[in-house]
Amino acid sequence: MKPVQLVPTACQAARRYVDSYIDNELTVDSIHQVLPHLESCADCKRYFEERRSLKLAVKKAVLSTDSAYSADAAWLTKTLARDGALTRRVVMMAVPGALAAGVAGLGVFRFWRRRPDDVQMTRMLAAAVMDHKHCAMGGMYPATPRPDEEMAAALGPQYTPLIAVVRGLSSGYQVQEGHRCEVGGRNYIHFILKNGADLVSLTSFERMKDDPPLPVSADLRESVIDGFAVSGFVASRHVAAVVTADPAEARRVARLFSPGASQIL
Amino acid sequence: MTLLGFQRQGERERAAFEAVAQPLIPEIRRHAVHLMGNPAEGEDLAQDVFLTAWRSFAKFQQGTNFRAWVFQILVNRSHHFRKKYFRLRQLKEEEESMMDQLRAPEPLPEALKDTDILDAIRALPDAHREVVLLADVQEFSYREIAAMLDVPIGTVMSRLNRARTTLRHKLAATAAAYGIKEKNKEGAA
Repeated sequence: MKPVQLVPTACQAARRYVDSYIDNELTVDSIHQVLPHLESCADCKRYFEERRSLKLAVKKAVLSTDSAYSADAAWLTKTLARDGALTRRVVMMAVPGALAAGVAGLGVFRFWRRRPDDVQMTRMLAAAVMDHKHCAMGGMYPATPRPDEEMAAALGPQYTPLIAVVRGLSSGYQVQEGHRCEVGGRNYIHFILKNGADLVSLTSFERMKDDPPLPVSADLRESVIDGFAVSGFVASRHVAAVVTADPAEARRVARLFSPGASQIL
Repeated sequence: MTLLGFQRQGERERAAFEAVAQPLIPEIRRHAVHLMGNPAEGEDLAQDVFLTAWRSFAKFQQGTNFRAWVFQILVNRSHHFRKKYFRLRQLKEEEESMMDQLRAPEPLPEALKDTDILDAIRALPDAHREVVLLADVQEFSYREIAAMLDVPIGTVMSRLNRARTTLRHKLAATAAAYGIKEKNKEGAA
């Protein structure tokens, strides 16, 4: 077995700032903290030079492909011509298309009028399940419950009031974790609750520009996705959901979570 | 306004757009190709970016940074394109292992070719590659990148840190596969 080479704390602290220093993003005060260490520590100086040469190498390698891309006016003209071409194609297809669409649309409209946002909401609930699988099922929470102060620091002042909401659920679960995370390009506010082997995620995420415009509603919408039961609702900015193994339990916890969370989200 | 008047106004707007957009063609095409990791998809994305920029040109606020505005469009459209090409390589935000934190830095051999580095960039997770290209090649500030990606600055910093660490490990492994000696290993020991 190879011995682990321990790096002193001062080195770890300095290395944390090295990228920002290379990218010219450090304040003068921080530079004054980092520079003396780099001058006195050969290992960290080498680390700094490695990172800097890597940054330069990346830029050089990417720019080496520049000859393939000239500021070609003809390329731009051709690209922008797609705008008109698209319009012309649409107009040419419009007459026969409109007739077919009218017939098909009538049937679709009847279906959508019943629950117009079912499909879209299922997509949103699937995002909540993805977060549950990533963090809760992936074991990304501490073995012992995280203290409120640490959760508050992780969540930020805007979402700290959620801690009280989650603690007030009286749901029989222990609040194991509260954090912000990013999964699949979405940013989540995520609480993980535990009762023995049962794991429950209370997760919410801001709706993105490309998400369907779902109406704000405290009505719970439910689904079973990838074997997980999910029960969620649409708040003014967020979609929030409770994910666990049992549909009845997901619904029960979501009913408790919804009133308080809706005020914050 | 007459039909002829509308047409002339449209022509003037088109000329104004082309004047500011044309200088950006090389870097947008290059960025798109490296971001998508594939020339055909990158070219498709670049065309879409300019088309989208032209269609939204009326919304561009004169006097603000046109380059940053176009890159913002590029970032947004690239997310659509990844879905389009069914390449949802999701970023696993795993914590950097303790070994990575403690390991002494591996010297990056200078004998590596640009193609090795491009291959290593292409192999990065999408979210990491995106940040490396915006920071290291386009030299946008952390603040600008955070605004483009709609994430906190801390996320930009951590993605950049992980991306560079991954690149360094990959390139060290490539060098080892070539049998390139690390020139300053002895000197550093």
